[in-house]
Amino acid sequence: MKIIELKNVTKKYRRKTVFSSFSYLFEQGKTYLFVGDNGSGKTTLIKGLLKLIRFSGGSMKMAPVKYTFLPERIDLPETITVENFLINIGLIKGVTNIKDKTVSLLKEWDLEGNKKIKELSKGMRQKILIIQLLLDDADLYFFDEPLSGLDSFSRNRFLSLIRELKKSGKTLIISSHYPDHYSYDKILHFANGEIHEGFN
Amino acid sequence: MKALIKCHFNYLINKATLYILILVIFISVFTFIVNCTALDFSSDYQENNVLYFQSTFLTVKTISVFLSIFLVCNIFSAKNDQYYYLITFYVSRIKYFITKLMAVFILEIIFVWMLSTAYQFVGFIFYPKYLFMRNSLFGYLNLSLLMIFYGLAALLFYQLVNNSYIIIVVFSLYIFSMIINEENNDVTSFFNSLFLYLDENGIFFFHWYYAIMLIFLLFAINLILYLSLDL
Repeated sequence: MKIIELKNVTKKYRRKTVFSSFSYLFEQGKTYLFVGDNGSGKTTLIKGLLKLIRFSGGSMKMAPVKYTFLPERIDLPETITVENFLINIGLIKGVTNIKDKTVSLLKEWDLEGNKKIKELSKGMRQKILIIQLLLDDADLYFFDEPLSGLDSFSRNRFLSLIRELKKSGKTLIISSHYPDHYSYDKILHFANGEIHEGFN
Repeated sequence: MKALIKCHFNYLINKATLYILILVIFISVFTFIVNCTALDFSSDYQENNVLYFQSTFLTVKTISVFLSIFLVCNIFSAKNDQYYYLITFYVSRIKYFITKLMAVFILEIIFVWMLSTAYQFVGFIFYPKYLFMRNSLFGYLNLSLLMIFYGLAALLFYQLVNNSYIIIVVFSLYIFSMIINEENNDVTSFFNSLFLYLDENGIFFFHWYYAIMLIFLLFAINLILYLSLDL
């Protein structure tokens, strides 16, 4: 079953064309890997799929599924604790039993909930973003450079999470510089304003 | 919605805004004390009460407008606007935008309430014949409208040019509105119809209805622009 259908989508920033006339069909339950150099358009396409940015041309159709996103990096509020931040995000997402769920995920990812975010390293902040993603169950997951800043323990934990999600039939779209780390169904190569499909 | 507004507050109350808020309150209280103690106690007490309001209101008005411009540009800056990525499926951009502005305006209204209380308190302590004037209260209410207006004006410019230095331009427009209002002519009226002006008695050049109308107009333009731009 198709989950996202792109028809001739184009993204331009003033004079620069990031990609043009790209058509593609994302199917449910499959894992897609986006690879390419920095600035090749991987994040731009993900943001377009998430409707965070508008495509300059073409059309997109998405099945009515719940989706969630792990960005590469965002600024987090410095003055509050990890637990309070996650509980708040969970409440916005409408998660039930949020307190217990947060405590359990914090334990699983070896993160102290009572620490203020300003005290955390880059890798620890990345773990917060991973935990917020796991607070609610979704059908479609977007990951933008998810391994960035993670130590080896967290990296392995994350890769095992990806395997679990794949096994449970979720659709995964991952942008990464490390294709060897993932087991994927299809790979999209981004280069020189063009996107080409490859297979595992 | 409560959780969403709380999330906006978590981003709004950062180190920079806390320092600026404390500084602005300190300057305001200092202004109140200096002007209140400088009153000539032998003069007519009613005149003195009006003088106390007028002499402090200019400073308070100017720093409040600056604060509003800063707060709005700060919360809508790229680094403080990316958490929408985490909740994009759950919250529409319209709701996100409106609640974000609500968070800023709630903070500004609390700030104006604190200023107004400090104004009354300092007057009560330092001037034996201090009078509670209803007009001063309306002046502070109008000040909150002025802050909201300049906050929205700053947001409009900020969205158009996407550069934080725009704070200077918007603040300069406010300063210009004060200079131009030293004379009353057609140019002044035209300028005041675009940029709100609050005089030394805390009264708008046009009626406060007009101020609210301009605020709604600016809000609508900002919303349309926000929805059309990439995040």
